[in-house]
Amino acid sequence: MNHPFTARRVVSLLALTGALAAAADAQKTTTLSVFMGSQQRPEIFQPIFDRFTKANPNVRIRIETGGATSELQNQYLTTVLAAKDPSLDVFLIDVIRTATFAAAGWAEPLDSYLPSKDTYLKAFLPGAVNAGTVNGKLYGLSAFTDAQFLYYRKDLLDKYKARVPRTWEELVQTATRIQKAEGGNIQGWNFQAAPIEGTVCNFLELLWAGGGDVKDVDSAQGKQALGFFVDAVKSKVSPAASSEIRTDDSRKQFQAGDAVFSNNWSYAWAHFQGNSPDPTKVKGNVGVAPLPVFGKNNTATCLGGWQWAVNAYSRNKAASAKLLQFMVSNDVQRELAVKGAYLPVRRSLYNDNQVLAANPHFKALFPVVSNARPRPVTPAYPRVSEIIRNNVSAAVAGSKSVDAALKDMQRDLDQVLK
Amino acid sequence: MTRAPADTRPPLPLHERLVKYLGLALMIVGGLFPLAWILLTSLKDEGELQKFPVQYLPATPDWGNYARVFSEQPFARFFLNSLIVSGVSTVLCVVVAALAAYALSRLRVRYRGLLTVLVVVFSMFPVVSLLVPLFRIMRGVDLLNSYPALILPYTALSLPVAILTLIAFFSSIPRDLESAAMVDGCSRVGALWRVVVPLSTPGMVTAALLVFVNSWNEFLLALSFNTARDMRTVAVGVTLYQGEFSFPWPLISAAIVVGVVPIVALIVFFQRRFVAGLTAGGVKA
Amino acid sequence: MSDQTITTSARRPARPRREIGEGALAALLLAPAALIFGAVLLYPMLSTLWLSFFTQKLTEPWLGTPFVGLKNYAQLVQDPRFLAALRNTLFFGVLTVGGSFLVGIPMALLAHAESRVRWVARVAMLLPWAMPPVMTGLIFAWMFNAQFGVFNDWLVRLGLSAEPVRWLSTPGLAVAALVITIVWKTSSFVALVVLGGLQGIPRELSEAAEVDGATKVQSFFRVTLPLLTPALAVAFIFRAISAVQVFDIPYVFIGQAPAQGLLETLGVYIQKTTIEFLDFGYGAALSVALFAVSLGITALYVRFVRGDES
Repeated sequence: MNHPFTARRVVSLLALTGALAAAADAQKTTTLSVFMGSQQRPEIFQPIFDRFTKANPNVRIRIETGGATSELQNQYLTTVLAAKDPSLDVFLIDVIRTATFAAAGWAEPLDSYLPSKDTYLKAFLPGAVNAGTVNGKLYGLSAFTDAQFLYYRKDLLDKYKARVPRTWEELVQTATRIQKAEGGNIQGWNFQAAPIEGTVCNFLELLWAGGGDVKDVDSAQGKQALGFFVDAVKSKVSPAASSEIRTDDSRKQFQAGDAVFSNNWSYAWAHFQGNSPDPTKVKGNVGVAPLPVFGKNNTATCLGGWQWAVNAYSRNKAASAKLLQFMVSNDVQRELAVKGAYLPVRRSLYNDNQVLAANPHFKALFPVVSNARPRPVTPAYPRVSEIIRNNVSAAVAGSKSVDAALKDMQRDLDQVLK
Repeated sequence: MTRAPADTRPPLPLHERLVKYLGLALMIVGGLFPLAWILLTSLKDEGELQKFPVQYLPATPDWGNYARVFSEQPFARFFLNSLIVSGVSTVLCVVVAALAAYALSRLRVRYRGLLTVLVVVFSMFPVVSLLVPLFRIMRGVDLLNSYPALILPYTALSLPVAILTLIAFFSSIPRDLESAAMVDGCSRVGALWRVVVPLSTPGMVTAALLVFVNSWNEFLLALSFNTARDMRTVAVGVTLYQGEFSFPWPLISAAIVVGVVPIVALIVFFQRRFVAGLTAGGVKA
Repeated sequence: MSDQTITTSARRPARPRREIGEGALAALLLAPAALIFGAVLLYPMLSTLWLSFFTQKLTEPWLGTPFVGLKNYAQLVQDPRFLAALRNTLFFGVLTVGGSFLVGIPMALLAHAESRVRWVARVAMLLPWAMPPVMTGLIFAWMFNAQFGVFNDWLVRLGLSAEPVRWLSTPGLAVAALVITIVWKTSSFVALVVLGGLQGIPRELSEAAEVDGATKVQSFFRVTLPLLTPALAVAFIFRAISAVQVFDIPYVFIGQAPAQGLLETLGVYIQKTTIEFLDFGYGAALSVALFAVSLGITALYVRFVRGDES
């Protein structure tokens, strides 16, 4: 049959048109190609990029938007970067992927582009910096941060003279009491146990809240955490379908007034206040608090958010690093917070008048956000995540016992987290 | 052309008619229900989806989702891209496949069986493992973000099924007809175009539909090769409305409905060609 | 596939007059296809094969990319996840290929028969296949949803179940849901190819059989089905190959509920290994294994067909 290279020559003939078009594009200015998900709202980011190009007239920015979910973006970036493609300069990645991208050699270390790195990073939330740091080098700058919180119904707590629960046991008691009094199908506490990242976080949070660690899940703390979810479903505090509930399902059900408590990320807040495609029944009646704990431990939440990174194969690294610094600058972070309700990565902005005017709840979120803990920072994170979410989901579904799920989790995690 | 007109056939006995219409009803309901469900969903608001027992009809149909399909993303452009990519792939693939199928079914070819198996072999690798090397090729020849970046692989990926379908059809056309045409002074290629091609219309239509729909729905390559906003295709386009967490069913349903329209149109159009093919296929052997 | 399945009549005597030789003509006609295959698919296939002899794990970059011979293949046979995925793939393959023929052939007959609703029937026959696969998975997952799914609504309304059923997070039910979804989606393909085949069969043949006293069913099995063999053969081989590769719909379902690995097919495992775990060497070996399974099915099939004819 054919030789591959003759075939290639034919294809290159077909490529002529494409090549000509590309040649016309080549100019003296630098064009930065920025990849972000389609869910990162262009109406907020575009004006910011425009400001950057105005201040740097020899730089242009071309935005490429990929699939909306973290998985789809990863699918695309993996293809491009495995082929060592230089055409992208900057990309926005889920915070859990930084370590993988660093190990694969896809993300450029940023240290040499930041003149005095340590002073520079002092103004940032420590969790956001840590999540971008792998083996002492900085690979990503957080575009915005995120964490999981406990959302609660202020009106219902007031009605039943209950306080915001400090411990998980208290949460169950309060939820049960309100459920009984309210009747109907109101959910006491709503969490996610579908096989998604939110589920990993839910488990880690309860594990941490009992003083446990991911290296030792087949432990008393592990049992306490996973058992808590399973019992919540069994005692009907949480919906029977919890094992299939995803982040946005929780958000919608809480928003429809169907739940007393709910674990969720920061994006839910704006929805609850009416900035949402679905009607809200809880506007003005929502409170947000740190997640409860077990006993006297410290509250713990998962660090979320997205990070800017520079393609290691890029030909415009210096300009790209400049863009990154611009994106985490005070002004831009403030604008993202005011216009998009994104949680800033700079500490001072949680006391900023403009930010607080637009997002009064940020003040309450600050202590939570500043103590957010990263999920295991390892290149093998995708495996870690899969092991945890599948086992948690199966246990909550009742198709695996808590003990068996933890045992399997430990066995598989041991291989990955060596 | 001797097909008996339908009305001269004796009517079916009652029980046979019953079976037939029961089957038809089952098939129509079963085949169309999920799409009907999506159509209804596209007219609801999100709150109406979160109900159990399920609310079947929207309180007030919200056509706004269809407007948002086009305002939130350049869906019309996605549509045009898909039409161009799928249309060109289909024509290219069916023509190339027809030539190859003719050779493999009608001509004396050494290792015919082996060659046919070889054709099938090209459909045996999962696309996901071909993704990175294909990406390298496309970048190497600077085809990323262009129509050929998708047309070439789509043609190649659909060629096996198109070739084999056409082989099956060609081999059911009596050779005598072709020989007769050649005796009448046609060359072999002339006979191919004047006798075999018209007689195998149903086969061509089948192959064309196969290629078109395969190309219309292809996702992985389209996601990775054509990333510029105005080079996206419909299959990727319908996924762009979801958020990191949110999956706005009404809006996405509307996008799915819009994306399926050309395929329905194509089927309705081609089902007439099927009838035309029927007459041609009915030639007495 | 063998030539026996394809050629139906005997070779003709040599052709007269000024024609290029048959071999040369055949080569000419085959050239475009060969060119496209060679240009687009040959290099990626060979490079996957080549990569399967190397270790290339981007999450452990210190390993480099050493040549390891058959090590990845040795790992395969000891990898319980691979073996489970292989078993699942074959299991789903048998059920969904069988199911798509059981549903697809009657659909084609119905869509072929004269009736006032024929065009509706044809649209209904083909639409499932026209839906984007990922979206099909999502739509069915939504209809099987534990809280608000329409299937649960039917069960509860009809009194078949007091509570909504957790279809996707109950492993056995999830398998059933996946089979139903794949059969719904793929029967159209079988029906389309068979319908095309039916168009080519002169109606007089089956009518003649009926005149001779055969019932409709008898004439279908004696006359129509044998004439459909080439179309069925094509439908079978491509259904089988695509069943072995099945990826989109299980992937979506696993995203809803993993069902303890029961839903993981080889296609899904390859995707995860390559795109998520960045283990390109092993992923390539998995792809070659999947290729081998397809090849094995094709070989069995060719033998079966040959055995049948001799």
